[in-house]
Amino acid sequence: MDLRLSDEQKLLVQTVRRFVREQIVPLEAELDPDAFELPREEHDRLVAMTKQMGLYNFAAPVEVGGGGLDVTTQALLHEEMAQHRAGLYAPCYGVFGGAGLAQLYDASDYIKEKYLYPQLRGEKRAFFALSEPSGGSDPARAIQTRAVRDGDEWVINGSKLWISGADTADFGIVFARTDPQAGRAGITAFIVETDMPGFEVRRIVHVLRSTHYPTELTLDNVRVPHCNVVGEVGGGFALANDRLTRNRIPYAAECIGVAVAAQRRAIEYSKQRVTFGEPLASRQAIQWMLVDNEIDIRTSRWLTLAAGQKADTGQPFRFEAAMAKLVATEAAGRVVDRAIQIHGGLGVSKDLPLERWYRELRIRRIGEGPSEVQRIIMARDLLSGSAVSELA
Amino acid sequence: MPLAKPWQPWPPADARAIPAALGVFEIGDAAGNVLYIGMAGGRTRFGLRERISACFAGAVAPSLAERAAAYRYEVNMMYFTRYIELLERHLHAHGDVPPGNRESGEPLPTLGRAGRQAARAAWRDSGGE
Repeated sequence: MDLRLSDEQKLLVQTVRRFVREQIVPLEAELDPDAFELPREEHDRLVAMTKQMGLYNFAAPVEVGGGGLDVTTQALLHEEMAQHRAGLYAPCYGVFGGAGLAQLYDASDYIKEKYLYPQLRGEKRAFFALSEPSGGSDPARAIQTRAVRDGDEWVINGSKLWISGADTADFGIVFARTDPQAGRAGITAFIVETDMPGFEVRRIVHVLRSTHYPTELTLDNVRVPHCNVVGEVGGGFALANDRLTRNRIPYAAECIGVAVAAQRRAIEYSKQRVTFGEPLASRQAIQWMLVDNEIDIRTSRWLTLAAGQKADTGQPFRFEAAMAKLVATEAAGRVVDRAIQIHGGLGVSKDLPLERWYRELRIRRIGEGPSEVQRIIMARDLLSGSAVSELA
Repeated sequence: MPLAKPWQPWPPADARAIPAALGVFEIGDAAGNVLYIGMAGGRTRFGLRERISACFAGAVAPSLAERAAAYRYEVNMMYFTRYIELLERHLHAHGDVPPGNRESGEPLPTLGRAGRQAARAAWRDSGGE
């Protein structure tokens, strides 16, 4: 396993790092500590910059107009983009664009023209609706939302919970059960437009983060044309599962970015802050915290980049992605917790970003599959023999 | 959810009765119409006390100093999403955000469609058109 960065990767990392420090961090001094949007003129100015840099939509494939960066390079950039106050859930406030809904890359030309491309151009917003009040970690069994065919249309009824961005979206992917007897083969993905009759965002769900806040949806006899089926009827679970697996790598990388930023602050502060006549950094208790932070950061990074390499070389990477997600989300929580301890009262104040990271990182151990589900995924692969160490 | 707190007349008997905490608030006229929806966020020095007082002093929007008669607030650490929720609710019930928010020139967060049906139903129930 070779984890050395190429010259191109080094250049990209340095470019994004400089962008975050020179363009994003200064703007945050004027924003509310919980802000998740930039003023429109600042947002547009920075989007123009990232487009000029050739980094807008860097994660989307070339075939749909994106930058087509490999997963490892994406992870490196996500780590950099997260190193500011809003960085965990609003990395660079979205000025690098996004990847769009990955489930649409292989969809029909109709769907790509009507939904994917406008989303990638920043003209439309989208949501992803898998979880329901009955559960999110086991969607194959938990999904109770029903879709019934009626001629050239499908009629969808049900509710969805923890759906981020649905209140401001133009459309979204909704997973519904089309065959109650078929288990995971009975789930289908549909594109639902938010102004379709019967679609309602019931409420904002107030949680520990203000960024990308979740909502609750109801679908009451929403009629969707058959051409809005994404992929095959009954193929929804595979679509959702593939997205969840791929997303775990940048998800882990963002946690590492926040941990790196917290560690940087902890080191600086421990050298400045004097107690009982000595800087904090001279205390062994503080030194060990800093060392434990660094071990957590480097362990997470190695696992994340290793998962990225497997994905980039066409190898199965479900086990590695689950491990990276599990380790990085838990490790980053510990790093920020120690950084807060080193900062004392300042650490829990809104003067610093640590308290926001602390709250938001707690969610990361649950979102995109909680730690326990990652362990289930890994245990299955270990027991089936499909997870093989490179040194075995 | 609406801000289900009783209106309190301005000025309060003791300004310190308004907590210097983070949260959301509404400014109303004498008839109970909402003129402004505000948030006391993490950059304020005295939270709700500072922001509500600023509204009645005309520092947020001049017309508020003339028309505002009452206030109500909710201490809430999740002030940002609650602020969005109150603005969205007002938008869906009245077709716009409160006049003071427009007049203030403060940037509005991106507002969506959460609670649209409930807000419209509540507005109809209260006699609105």
